[in-house]
Amino acid sequence: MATLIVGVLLCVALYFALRHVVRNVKEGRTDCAGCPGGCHGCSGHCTTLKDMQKLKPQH
Amino acid sequence: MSTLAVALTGNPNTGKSTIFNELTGARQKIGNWPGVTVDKKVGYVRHGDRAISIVDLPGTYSVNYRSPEEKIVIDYLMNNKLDMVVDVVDSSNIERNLFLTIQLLEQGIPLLIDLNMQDEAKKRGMHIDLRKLEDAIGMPVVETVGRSHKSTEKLLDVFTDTVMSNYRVSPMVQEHIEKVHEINASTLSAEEKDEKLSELRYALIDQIMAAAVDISHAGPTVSEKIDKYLANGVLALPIFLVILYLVFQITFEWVGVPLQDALDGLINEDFLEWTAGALEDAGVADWMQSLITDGIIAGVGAVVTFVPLIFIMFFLLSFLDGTGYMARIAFIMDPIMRRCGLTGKGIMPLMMGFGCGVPAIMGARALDSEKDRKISILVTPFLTCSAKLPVMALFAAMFFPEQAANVVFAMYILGVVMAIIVAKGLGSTMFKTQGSTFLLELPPYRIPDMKTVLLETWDKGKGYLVKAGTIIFAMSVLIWFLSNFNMGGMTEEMDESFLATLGGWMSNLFALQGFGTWEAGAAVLSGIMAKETVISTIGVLYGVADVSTEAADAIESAGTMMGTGMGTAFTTLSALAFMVFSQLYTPCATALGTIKKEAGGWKWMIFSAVYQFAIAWFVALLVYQGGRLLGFE
Repeated sequence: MATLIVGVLLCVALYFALRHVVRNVKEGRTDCAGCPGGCHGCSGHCTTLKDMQKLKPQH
Repeated sequence: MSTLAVALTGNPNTGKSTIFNELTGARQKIGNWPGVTVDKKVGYVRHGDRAISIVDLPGTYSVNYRSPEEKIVIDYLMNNKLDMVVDVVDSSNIERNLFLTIQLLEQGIPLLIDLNMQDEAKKRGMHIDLRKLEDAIGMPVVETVGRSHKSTEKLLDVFTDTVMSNYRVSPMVQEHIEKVHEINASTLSAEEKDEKLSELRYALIDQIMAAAVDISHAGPTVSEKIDKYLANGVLALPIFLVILYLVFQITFEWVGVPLQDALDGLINEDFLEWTAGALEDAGVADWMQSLITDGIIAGVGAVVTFVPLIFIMFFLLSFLDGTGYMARIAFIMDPIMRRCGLTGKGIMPLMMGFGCGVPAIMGARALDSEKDRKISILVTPFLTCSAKLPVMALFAAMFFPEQAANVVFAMYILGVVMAIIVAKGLGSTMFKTQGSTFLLELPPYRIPDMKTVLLETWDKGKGYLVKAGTIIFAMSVLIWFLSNFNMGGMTEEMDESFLATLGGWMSNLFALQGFGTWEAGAAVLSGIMAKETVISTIGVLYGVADVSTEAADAIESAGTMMGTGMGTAFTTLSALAFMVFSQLYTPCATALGTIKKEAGGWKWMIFSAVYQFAIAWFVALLVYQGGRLLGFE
């Protein structure tokens, strides 16, 4: 029973961890340090790659 | 409640982001160098019965569509319905700042001119007559001191009380605008037009300065006096290296290590023992106990113990940034960068690479030429990002306990030197074009705002914690699974596990570098997901979460590790080769994805992954085989 409870808790934690990673990949976001322009105070998230892409200079 | 839309514009480093943060309570990164704000930021504030939206635009010296920042600024100002555009002017550099002011007025954009940093202008002995400046330009003028709450309140009052439609440019500016239109409509070539327009603008600036600014008492500033030494052609580089060395000493020897040891004891002794006991008492199955203690706590714990080092290093770098010294580094590095075919401006995104390669790669777009951008993107991953730092710290403490800080410092230098050598190589082969010009403004030295420094440290360090709780956690579970299972189910022999098979394939590549074991191969392989995973993998495989870095403890820890397998996997020399390889090899998956987007396709991503692996392999080979030839082990 104890194993089952710990297993379920672990699965829930793993689900949230993986969801975060998958969302980062989908939204082009990164948890890394030192994002350009800083991590915006309102959301605490770094500027997404998609946002940055809009600003990409024309080659 | 009525709304008000305000945009902040101005030259780089005039304090726009500070004003934006003060006004909105946001935490936008404040960089004391040009190009920090490469994107526009939006914040909101309520003042009286008004809801004010404030947009912080990237700093730019002009609006000629020549750089991404210029394009963002002019496109935003021309295509959005704004109630007010605030031109933030550095009062102590008003003459140069007015160039952008005049260009914006030429575009028909009414401006509220915010004379920021008035305190510094006064310290310089400059006197700006606000009323005369208003008359000379025809636009409202307000004075502020960026970090002052009083200034912020005053600015909000001005936002709500000023009606921009009541203002018209002065006759002097109107006459200038008409001349500009004439030149633009003429048949002159683009270069001739540019030349004429610049002359015209500087003539107008002279007129405005003569009318409103008294600089007769202005003398050399404190910053100029300090720069005689810190930006001196001979002393600058040695002083820079000494400062960098001190950063490492503080991080690794004086402050970081005691804190790390305390955290290490808390996680890997107290918490581990408590968890193991609780699981045992609760009757949890052995395999689940192993997953939690040997997998998750060992893996995540190994990464988390390095949090103090990460935070201290970011604090020190943010502090240096806040003083204005970081901008001098670009100036100091310019001659070196120029020899590599880059400009000193290229050092800015590279310096971000000490935090994380991803924003550094994205930051390369601030560079003027395609050549500079590509080279910067391709060499940035050589630098020691915060994720590589724990790998270096662990191995240095384990195998060089008396010289840990020096060895990590040497690894940082190795990353920089490799970036420079490869930039030089790429600049003279694949990207053979003319170097671009570099205009750098050295901001005045300031006492950093501790709130900003701490917020920036938290913003940077927070990402490391989030990664520990997400990708490192998930990878620790995966690594535990792969190292405890094979086709026949759970195995007690790690050497027969899935991971041993995978790592075994990789290990064949590293026999000549002295670390041809499946454990090292597995660590290298997992590091491609995220560099911190190298540490968590080692933690899981050797069951050594207590990877203390204090010299005395390290020997003891090393002894424990030796007993559990790490000592047989690495000699001092092969550990050094492994550090060199980890420093230089293929960037992590997120960085590779960013390279693909920023450099323009799969081709560059694959190139980056392969060439860095090859260089790392070769340099590690040189270190190991060279060391053996010299008699080291």
